[in-house]
Amino acid sequence: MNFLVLASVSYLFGVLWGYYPTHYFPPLLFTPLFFILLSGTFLALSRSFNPKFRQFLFIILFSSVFLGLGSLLIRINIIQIDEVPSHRLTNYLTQTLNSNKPPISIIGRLVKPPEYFYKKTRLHLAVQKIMSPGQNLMTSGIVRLDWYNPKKTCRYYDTVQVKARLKLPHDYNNPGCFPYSNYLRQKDIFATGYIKDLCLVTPARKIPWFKQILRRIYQLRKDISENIEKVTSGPESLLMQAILLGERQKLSKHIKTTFSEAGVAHLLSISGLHLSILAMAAFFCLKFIFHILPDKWFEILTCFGKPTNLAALLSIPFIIFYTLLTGNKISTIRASIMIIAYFLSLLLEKEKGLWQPLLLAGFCILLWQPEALFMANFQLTFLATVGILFVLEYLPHHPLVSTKRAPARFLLRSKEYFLSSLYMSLMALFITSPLIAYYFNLISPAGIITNLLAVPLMSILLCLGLSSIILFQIWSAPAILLFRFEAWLCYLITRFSASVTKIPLAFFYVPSPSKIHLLIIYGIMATFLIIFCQWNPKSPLVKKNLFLIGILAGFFFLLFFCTRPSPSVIKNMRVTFLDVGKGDACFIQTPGGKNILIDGGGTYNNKFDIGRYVVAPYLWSKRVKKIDLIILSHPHPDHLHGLLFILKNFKVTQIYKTKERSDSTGYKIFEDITRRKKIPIRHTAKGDQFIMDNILMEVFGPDDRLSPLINLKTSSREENNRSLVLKISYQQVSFLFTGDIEREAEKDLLGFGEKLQSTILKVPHHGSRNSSSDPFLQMVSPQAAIFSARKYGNLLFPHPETLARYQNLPCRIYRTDLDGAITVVTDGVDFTITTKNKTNLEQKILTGR
Amino acid sequence: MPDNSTLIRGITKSEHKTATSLLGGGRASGGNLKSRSVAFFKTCRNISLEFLFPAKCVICRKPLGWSNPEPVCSSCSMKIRSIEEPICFTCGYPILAEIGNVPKEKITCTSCKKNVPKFTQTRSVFYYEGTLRQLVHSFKYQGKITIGKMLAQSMGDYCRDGSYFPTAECIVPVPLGIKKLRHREFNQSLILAKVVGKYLKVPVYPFALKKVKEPAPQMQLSRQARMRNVRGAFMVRNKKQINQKEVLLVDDVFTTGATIRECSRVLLQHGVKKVWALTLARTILN
Repeated sequence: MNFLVLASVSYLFGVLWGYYPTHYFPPLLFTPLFFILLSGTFLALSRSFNPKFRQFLFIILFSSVFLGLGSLLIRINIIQIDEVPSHRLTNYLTQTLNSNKPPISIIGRLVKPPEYFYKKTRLHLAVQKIMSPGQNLMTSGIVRLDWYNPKKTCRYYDTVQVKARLKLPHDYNNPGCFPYSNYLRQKDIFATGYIKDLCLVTPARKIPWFKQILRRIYQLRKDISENIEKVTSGPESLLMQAILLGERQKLSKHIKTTFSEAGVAHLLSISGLHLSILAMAAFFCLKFIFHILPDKWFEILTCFGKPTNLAALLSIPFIIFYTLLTGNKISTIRASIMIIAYFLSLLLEKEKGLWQPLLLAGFCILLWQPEALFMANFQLTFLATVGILFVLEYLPHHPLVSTKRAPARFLLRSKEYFLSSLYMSLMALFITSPLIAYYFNLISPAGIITNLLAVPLMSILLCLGLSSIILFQIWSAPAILLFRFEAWLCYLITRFSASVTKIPLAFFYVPSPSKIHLLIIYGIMATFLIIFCQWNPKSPLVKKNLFLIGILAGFFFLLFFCTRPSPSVIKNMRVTFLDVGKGDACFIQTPGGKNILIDGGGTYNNKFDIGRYVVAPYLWSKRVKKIDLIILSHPHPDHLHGLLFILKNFKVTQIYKTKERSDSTGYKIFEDITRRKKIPIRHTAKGDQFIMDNILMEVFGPDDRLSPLINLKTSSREENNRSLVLKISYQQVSFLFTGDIEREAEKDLLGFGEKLQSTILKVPHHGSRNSSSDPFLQMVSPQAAIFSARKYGNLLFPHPETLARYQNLPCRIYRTDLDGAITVVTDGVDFTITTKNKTNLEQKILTGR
Repeated sequence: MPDNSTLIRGITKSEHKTATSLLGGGRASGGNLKSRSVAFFKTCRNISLEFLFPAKCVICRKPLGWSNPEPVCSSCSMKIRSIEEPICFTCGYPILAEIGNVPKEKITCTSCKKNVPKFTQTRSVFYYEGTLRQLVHSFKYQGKITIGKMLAQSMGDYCRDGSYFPTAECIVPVPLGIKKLRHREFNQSLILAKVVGKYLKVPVYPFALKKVKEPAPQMQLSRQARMRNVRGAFMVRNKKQINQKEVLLVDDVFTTGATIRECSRVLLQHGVKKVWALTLARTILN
């Protein structure tokens, strides 16, 4: 009986149980306790029972202890995240942040080493005190502060005083969107902000010794990365720092995207490959040192223990040191626990093998952080390791004929090595690809090719890199040469992955498979792999290998099958106004299953790609791959930038837009993509009418006279007024999309008279003060008004005056900044409105007419 | 025949102990507080080790379970046969023939009669065959030191129970040549000697003897050739340690006795009063 398996499996079930509580939850929490008590009493009372039965009782007792522990720990974790104690920072911030106040003064301690970006340092400050003019508030919680162009340095665990402008993290509340604030809150981060300066404060208490050690180690990391930066330059230097020291945050988004599209994103996280190379290097070096000792010393050494064992024991500190140096991520910890456990099993002369260390690593990490079970990095690192261990254990080996002469033997051995590494990387790739599709909506068959070259290159790079780091401390001249060579290797890897992604079909962005799909895929895969293990053909190895390749290929097919777009057969029209911050994005599904996207939101500098991280995930969650019509109201960034990713990675049939053009970079990219993908663009203007799937689209503006084809130097306000105004009606229910028009354009629209009347109005220009004039509203007389807006800097969207104008009307008000995504479902007569944040307002079902 | 199950005493005793403390609700075992707490600590250590790395029996590959801290299961350890009396009083060779009512001290084997050995007395614990042979192999050639330590415990028990070598003042393990030592990384006799030393409460001198010559492999050689082969292989390195003392030689396997005889010859030349010898196992010819 392997009790570690029993413990971890029951603990795992406990965590799952606690995480998905049903309404039977409270009694269920006591079930393990009940079992513990029951079997415990039986065990205590029953000396005379059958030993088999006693063993059974003991197993029940044991597993229910771990089941209870798992559910308890995860519950505590969830409660900590969900329920915020009153003294927390958030409460203070929610009270003060809504009104624009000057920066507040905070005293706190750096609980993470400072992260260095390009011209920016990021600090994680555990707040101790907030010094507001009237009183000093004692609080807790972490704030994440960005410090542009820092002039001073600070270290881990320093106590500092800063003046910070804080803001609460906000989500884009759409189905399928990444819950950013939740993610931050899991790390105990309650607010983000900016600082301009900081001053160190002498701490009240002395820094404990282990924190001192950590400070030294983090300082060393900073020094090493600065040295690397000195001798090399460009993105290769940053990549090298990421690969050797785990400074991943320095990498540009572009490189990260390239790596994940090429299927080699795993190289960027420090895990098994790094640590096993380090461990082997340390182990063999130490062993070599012991073996070159003079005879007499060697004899004395053997009196204390086997030199091999000593080498294994002494290389454990190296592994721990490197884990700490690279900023203990989950994958690093997993690898280091596995290697340490492996060394321990060598030392204690227990059964060798890596399954037990893997299990141990998983169990330890989940004991420490039960919530890690639901995180992508934990799941990916463990699945990939399972795949690799499977290959190590079950892949048929070519028998090595010892009598063969040396060159032939070398050939055979290198072939063996090549094959096993090929299978390992293939297996890791295949086994993680459903999860990658699920979390990142990406399938990358290119990884098959890229890994073949990148993984060996990476091992060379790591060997050289680790040795050059050590060499640099001793003799810098050759180390600098080595660093340059490594930078060249990095360049090679980047270029190679970049060129692989250019190949057609190299990667796909796909709708995510559902959880049930995932279960089915992994179930089938596990079954086949178990059959593979049991199957023992007498025929040559080739057949077995072919069978494995067959399994993997069939598995890819299955994945594609699961991520295909679902044939949408709906009777109703469904209109969803997405929450894209300050911006517009509206997705319409027609009764015939056609998809229309009106604008795509966007940020001004496009640093955060709304298309990639907000609009596309929503579409993927709706299992949409093809968009039949994209309508661009006007080419401003908050309407256009989000469309770029969609145009690049979705099938788009047609684009409608006004004649308006722009000379912004975003618009140039837009033109580029449409030209390259040959997407037909139709320019529409006042008076046009289209019908698609029984849906009538009438264009009310802009007038052609107002929108010249050539771009004039016009004010942004005039550009706003030349937005496309579109009425979409499905039988008796109609929607008026107004873009960013303001008072002037609204006045022009009044000429349409009764035709303007609509059931639902998308409020013009995010609820700006200059739009939604009273006569226009009277004419439209909507039953529901939808604000697609959010406060932007000091500008209030929606403006209170505008809101007041709507409140005077007999219409319901919906706001994406409060309600999240707003969905209107209509059958042509009635309509219902649902919102993502149902808690914000009570039930929101309206019946029209 | 005494109870076979106590041959490897470490196993059965601690098995009993842990089994009772685990499932029997902590029946109080004897001994003072210190020894009990040491035993408790050991039990905890064994359980946690078993939890982390579940062990299998080195012989039959059956899982061992929590209660057994040793690397061999009890059914396999039952199969090990120990050498019982009547034995040759000098060299410890078991006498298979019927000898009648002769006192222990008078029993002598034919080879000892022919060729009176230099050492005072030699004892071996087990027959070198079957399971024990496998164990010794995995100890010596796979480097499983835990097996060696377990076997050495039964050597210690053997000395204590039979009250052999009561006057031995120090233990000298038979040394290993430096080439072999570099290859194997440990001296199996030293590992046995350390444990025996703890039982007999005498010091172990690993550097008293030195192997200066690597004799040719002894497997196929005849008795005379073996004697010639090992001649001059050992040398006393540290005379001070052993001068005018009674020395207990410890080795792993006694085959023809060539090694033990040569060692005792060298030791006695350098002022050792008496040489005793203890080996783990003994090959029985025919």
